[in-house]
Amino acid sequence: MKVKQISAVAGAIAALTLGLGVVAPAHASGAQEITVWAMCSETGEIAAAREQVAAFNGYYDGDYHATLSCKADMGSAIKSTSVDGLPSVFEFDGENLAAYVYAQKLKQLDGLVPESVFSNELVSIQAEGTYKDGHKYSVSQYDSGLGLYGSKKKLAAAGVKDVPTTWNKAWTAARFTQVLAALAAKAPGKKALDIKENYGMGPGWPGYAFTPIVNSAGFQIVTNGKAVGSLDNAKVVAALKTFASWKKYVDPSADDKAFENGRVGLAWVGHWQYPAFSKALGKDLIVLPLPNFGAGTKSGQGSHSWGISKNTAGAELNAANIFLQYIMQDKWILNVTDQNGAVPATKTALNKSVNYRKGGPLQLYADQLAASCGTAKPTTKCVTVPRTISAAWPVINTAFGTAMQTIWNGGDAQAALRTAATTIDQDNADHNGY
Amino acid sequence: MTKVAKSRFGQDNLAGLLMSLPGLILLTLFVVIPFFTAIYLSFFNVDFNMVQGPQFWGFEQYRRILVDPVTSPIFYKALMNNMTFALIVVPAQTGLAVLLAVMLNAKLRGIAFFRTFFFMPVVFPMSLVAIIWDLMFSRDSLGMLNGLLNLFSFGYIQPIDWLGDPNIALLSVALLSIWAGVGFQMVIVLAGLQEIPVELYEAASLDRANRWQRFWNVTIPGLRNTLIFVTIITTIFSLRLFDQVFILTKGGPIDATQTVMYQAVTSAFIEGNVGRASAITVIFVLIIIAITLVQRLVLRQNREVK
Repeated sequence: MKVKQISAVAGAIAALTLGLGVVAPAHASGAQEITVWAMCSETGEIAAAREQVAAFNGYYDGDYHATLSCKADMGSAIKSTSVDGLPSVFEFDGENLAAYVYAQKLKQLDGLVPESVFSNELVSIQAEGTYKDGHKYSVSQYDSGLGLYGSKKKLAAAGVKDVPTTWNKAWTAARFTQVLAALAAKAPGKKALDIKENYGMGPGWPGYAFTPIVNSAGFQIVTNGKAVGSLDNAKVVAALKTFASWKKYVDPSADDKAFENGRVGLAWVGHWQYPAFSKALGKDLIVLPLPNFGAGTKSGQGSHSWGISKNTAGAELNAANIFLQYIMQDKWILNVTDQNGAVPATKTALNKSVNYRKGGPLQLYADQLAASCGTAKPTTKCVTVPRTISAAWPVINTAFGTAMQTIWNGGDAQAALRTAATTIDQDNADHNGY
Repeated sequence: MTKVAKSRFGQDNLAGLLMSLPGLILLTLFVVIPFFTAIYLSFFNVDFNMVQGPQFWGFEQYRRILVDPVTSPIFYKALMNNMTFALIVVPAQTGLAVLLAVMLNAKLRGIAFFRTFFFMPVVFPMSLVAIIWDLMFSRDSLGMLNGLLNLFSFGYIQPIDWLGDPNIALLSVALLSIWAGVGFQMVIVLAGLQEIPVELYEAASLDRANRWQRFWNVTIPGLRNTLIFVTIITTIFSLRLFDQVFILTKGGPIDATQTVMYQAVTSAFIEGNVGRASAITVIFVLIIIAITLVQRLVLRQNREVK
């Protein structure tokens, strides 16, 4: 009985491994095989990944053949796989680029992928794909947009007339506090804002959504390799304290629908909520920049990226290169962005996008990304700041998220940021500055 | 005669060895080897994906965890949280398990249904349980717990920030852990109850012992060994608290739900710091062994039934 069970389990595991495409199926045609790992967390993205791989195989029938494998948790998959075990091509969260280059898992793409592909990418994406050695290691089909969504009616009912629609007119944090108070006074539940607290205030969401507060105070998390003096700067502490003071106006959004269901008049979230919000609010929906904490409004940038694994070579490398160029066509970029609502990451695709082109409802996101600060110190002249492009990002993200959680729950902001900054610097020292 | 007995004994030994072999191999592979590897790795500065290669650090990881003024407080905080959690959960969960088991030991029609019902949370994966409770714990008046409290107190009890208030978060995690885990202890106690000879109850009844006296003087002594086992296993379970924290609070708010296990896992698998994670687990294993030894000394199991 036991033996039977065990062999049944073993059989099931074997079947599962085969199903996941770990063992590449033999292809009779003699086409050059490549393996592709795609990030499969959202339904639309999964469908888009399958469609583009199927189209690639159809188009290059007999020459190249890609086998797709879906990973629900790509970060862990890449971290726990040695470079020999990685597929020819893989998709990954762009914030981890530096960590993978440092770990020698990614191949340099400039000199391989034609320059025209890179120059057509949005400047924010070009910055995201560039490591500190100045070389490019990834291409991306889409970028992200972060800002505020608002209900015109609710803002008007609260007597708010100065609603900003371009990034250079963003509300100051002080004005934003007044707006929240006015909105909350009119709301039945006395709440005004959804910051997607339900995504989790611990490490993760804050790294993307609330790093712009640090940047808007005029600082990066790490300046010239040092977090102490930057992340725990008095201006950053003050900005984050202001942010935490808004907690009384924030709906925890346990049902993820505080804004759609009309409990609040403003939502602090990214592009992916646009389809749901526009469906719920229709013409009442507007898109606004995040509040300005002193150095101008700032926003996040970056999303999923595609790279080639370091050990890919010869004919396989050539096929992998062809694959990247194939999926970077506007047609396939728009196919995925239509399904997940993201910002198309090439200039040509962006112009064809109904939502993001000039005059489109989400033009603000495109404008913000066009004004990327890159890796320079954030000023009032630029908006989007890439997450620290460093192999230390996982540590930075955890330290910052932990501090944010403490501050949000009323803890000592100065002490929390000091601990986070010290942790980041110690890690940097342990790795000889990476 | 003796010769036959001896050879049979030898055969039994061989069969026993063979049958325990799969277990022993798995234990060696997944417990013994990783443990000694962890001890070894804890003396190095070593990361996943490290390019510079591991550096021998001696006791530096231990110094940072146990002594360093900036990095050590979090470990002691986590250890304290683990102890507090165990102090809440072990008595509450064991007591509740005995209560449920006694109730479900009744010979009623359809009792199997109730037993299954109370055991069900144990079968649910903790990740699922935690996500459901996350919704129930919502800090606004729309949260289920807050809604219920508000309803039954006629609006007197204001919404509580179950997972966001540093004074309450650990209690909230304990509450859901007890709910999710009590069925397991209940089943063990239930088995223990059924081993108590009926004659003892009959004799007690003849002595005119009432229900309460029978419970204290027959049931509890009869359950002694079971309870010791349940206490030790619950202590170990509660010391390795991780899943709930990882899903619900990520160690916050203000480190109120940091646990040693949470630090070990996040050090290794989020930050990639294998050296630190190994050192934490080594320290933790030593602590758990110490606690278990003390418990066993204090609560000697009786080998024979009185």
